[in-house]
Amino acid sequence: MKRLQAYFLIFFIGWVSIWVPTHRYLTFRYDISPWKLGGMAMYCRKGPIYFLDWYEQIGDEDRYIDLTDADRDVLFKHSDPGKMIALGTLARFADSVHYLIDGHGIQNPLVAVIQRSAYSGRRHRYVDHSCRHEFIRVDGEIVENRVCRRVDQRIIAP
Amino acid sequence: MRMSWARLPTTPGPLSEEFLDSFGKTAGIILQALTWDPKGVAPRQTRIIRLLLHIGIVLDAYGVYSMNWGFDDKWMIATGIVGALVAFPRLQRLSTVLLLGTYIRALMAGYPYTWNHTWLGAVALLFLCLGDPDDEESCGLMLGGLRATLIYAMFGAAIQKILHGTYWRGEFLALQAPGMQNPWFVRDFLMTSADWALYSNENAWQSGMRIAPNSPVLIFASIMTVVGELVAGVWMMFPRTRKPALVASVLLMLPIQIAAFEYLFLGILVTLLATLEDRAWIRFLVPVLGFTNIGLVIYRVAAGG
Repeated sequence: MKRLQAYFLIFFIGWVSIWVPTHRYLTFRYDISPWKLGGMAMYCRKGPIYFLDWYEQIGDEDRYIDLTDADRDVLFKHSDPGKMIALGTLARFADSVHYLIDGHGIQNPLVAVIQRSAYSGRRHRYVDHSCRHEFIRVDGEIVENRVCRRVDQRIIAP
Repeated sequence: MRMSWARLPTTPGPLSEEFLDSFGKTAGIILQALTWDPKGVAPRQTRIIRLLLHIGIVLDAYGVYSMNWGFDDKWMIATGIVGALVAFPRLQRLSTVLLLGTYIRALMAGYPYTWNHTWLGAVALLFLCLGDPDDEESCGLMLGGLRATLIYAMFGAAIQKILHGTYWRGEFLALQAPGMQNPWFVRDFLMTSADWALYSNENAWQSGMRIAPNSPVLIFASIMTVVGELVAGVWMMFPRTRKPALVASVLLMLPIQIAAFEYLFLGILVTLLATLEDRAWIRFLVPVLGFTNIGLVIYRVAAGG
């Protein structure tokens, strides 16, 4: 058992030595929250700020899906806010998508528009991004298409 | 004898030379540095640390379950009961194993939103679960594991602050201060009124402005936070500098606790810091931490959560 203890201790030291720089990379590359996933980067950077809206795509138009309180409760239990904040652009919403498509009987593509504002330490300012996720059922499977772009249309003060 | 760069004294720790040699030179030095215990007090120290950690973990679990992630209160009660079993000497190890089980449940239920200190608490509990409380060498390894966890929390946080680069101009503190639990601490002692007016505006970040505060005290405090964490983290790695590391950490954590009021992390933090001190007085931390933590929870609940 002592040997197992010692191996676990050595493994822990090795793991955290790798995880710190990896966590830092994921934070900048995928906007995962510095405050989450045990990377010890809390109080290093303000976490991104998110806005998530759901739409049904009808023709060329997106029709806003007005969620009820009951819908929001279910989506909250699927931990969408937590996933989005913690995992950034790596977050996936399979449970919520199934719930909305099946619960609302949506036949057209379901669209999630996620706007996030992430603090860039390198640029010393917040930078805006917008992602559009389109979900459509093909042969019973949900297929996702995602397009992201940097908005960054703010007036930059000197 | 190994011990070159670590500059360890010749007094052996609880682990035998043969045992250390079997892990190779570098790993052997690291294990010896982390488990160094010239007074042979590891078993006694482990008993106290276990009590402290149980207090911190149960109260942290309270925090997790009260944050409305769809949990059942039954799990809170179960966590409290299995945590309290530590009061019975013959059930201590079982109590820690059961507590780890309920704590992992809390950790996974909140995943991926799990707090960083919950990860730390789970790792610390795992180190305690693996060890045999009646074996001196095993107790040394338990304490070594907790010290490694503490070094990760302190040194890892310092490295992250350097990698993120938001402390050298005070920009993170300027943005974060208005949202802290006790913003008056930063407002009254660290920031100029002009900076406070700028950054306390909730929409300040929306202007797209470049974040560069002008408060010299804030910038100095910001830089010293990184330097302090770095120095304390390095000192913790060496047996001879554990005491200075403890003092530096307490001096560093006091203002952070006052400003940010991380009361749920407090229990786990005090437990990990207690591994740096080998004298008997740390046993008094058990009632002090217990009452302080309970008082802080009551204060927080009375203040509206």
